[in-house]
Amino acid sequence: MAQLSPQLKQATPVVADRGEGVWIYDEAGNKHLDFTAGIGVTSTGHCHPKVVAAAQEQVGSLIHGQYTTIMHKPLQRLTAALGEVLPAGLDSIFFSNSGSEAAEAALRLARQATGRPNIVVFQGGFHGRTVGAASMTTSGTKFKAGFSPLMPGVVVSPSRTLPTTGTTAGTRSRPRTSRCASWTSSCRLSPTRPTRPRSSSSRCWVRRLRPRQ
Amino acid sequence: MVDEVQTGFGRTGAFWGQEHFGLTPDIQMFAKGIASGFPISGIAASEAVMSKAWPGSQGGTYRANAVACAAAVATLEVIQEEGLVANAAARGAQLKAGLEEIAEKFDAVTAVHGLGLMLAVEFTDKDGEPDGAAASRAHQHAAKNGLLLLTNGMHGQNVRFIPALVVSEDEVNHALSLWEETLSAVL
Repeated sequence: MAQLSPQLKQATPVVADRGEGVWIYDEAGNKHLDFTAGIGVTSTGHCHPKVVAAAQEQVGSLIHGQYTTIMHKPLQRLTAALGEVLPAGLDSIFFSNSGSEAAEAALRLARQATGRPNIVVFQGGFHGRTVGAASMTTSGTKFKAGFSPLMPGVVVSPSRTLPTTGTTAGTRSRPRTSRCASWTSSCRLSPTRPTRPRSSSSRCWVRRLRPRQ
Repeated sequence: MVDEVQTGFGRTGAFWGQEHFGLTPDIQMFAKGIASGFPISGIAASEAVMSKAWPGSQGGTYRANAVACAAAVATLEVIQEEGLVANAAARGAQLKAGLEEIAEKFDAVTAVHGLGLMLAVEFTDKDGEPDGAAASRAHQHAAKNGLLLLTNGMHGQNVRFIPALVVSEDEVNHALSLWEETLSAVL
């Protein structure tokens, strides 16, 4: 009989039957207030009626249309919709399936666009679990231990060091120009690191970052 | 490059996390909140930068799945129609103020971090060290009481609050009440 990997453990005993808004209902009918949102995924809540209707309608017309073989309408509509919300100038979009894949795609593009191999990441950030993304992750050793060699070319910069008590009295470290700056294709940072969300005082630190000369 | 995988689509009380910091990235990543649970992600760049991707470097069998794209379009409409970015800012401020007020009552809770609806409470032991054990006890007790939360941090010392952007004022108050009960029980 098959079973889940012993490493695939659930942090709570909840066996979900259905979800609605910020609530999860288990098989016994108990309701749980879900302040995890599937790690920040269910933005409109569980099973928002409009999202459910859109997905149900699409399932009945076309489930999968491989996007380098054919074009499909939902892809055209999504590209147009993202154009309305993306920052000005970022109007060319590549789609993938997961955050890790997006990190890999960004890494690949940065290296190809600049011709330089190195990536500067900031201490404490999580960028994913695939080998390239894990190599850029510094939020915990468990994400990158035991499957070396990791991807080379990652330079870790100190980020603002938060204190263990209080939110404003931390030591701030000024990012320094790396000795390998001429090899550096890009800097990558999380606006608020998932592992340790920053207080607004870190804005001062971010403002000190300057484009490579 | 800015990693907006978790911070995008209103999570921090602005549409993009970068807005809090005045960043102007060359490449931006997005995922998570875009499709309310369907697996879709991506990167955005200027056409000038994206055109430097080498031929054959971008593709993939399952990417931009039609159902995920349809769900993402609906999600973006809901975020707009229901004012979820503003709701994330308002409910985030309410949640943060409540968590800070509760933190005042417990020595072991030493900080409340984050922006919008992406918040974390940090636990510290009597020696001033990160206290993963206390965070874990609080997390487990909260789950038993019907409040599902996450933990993280190098030492597992943070308990995270990251509800859907549709969360209401009453639901935030309910979570705060469960959280205070939890801390009274485990600390």
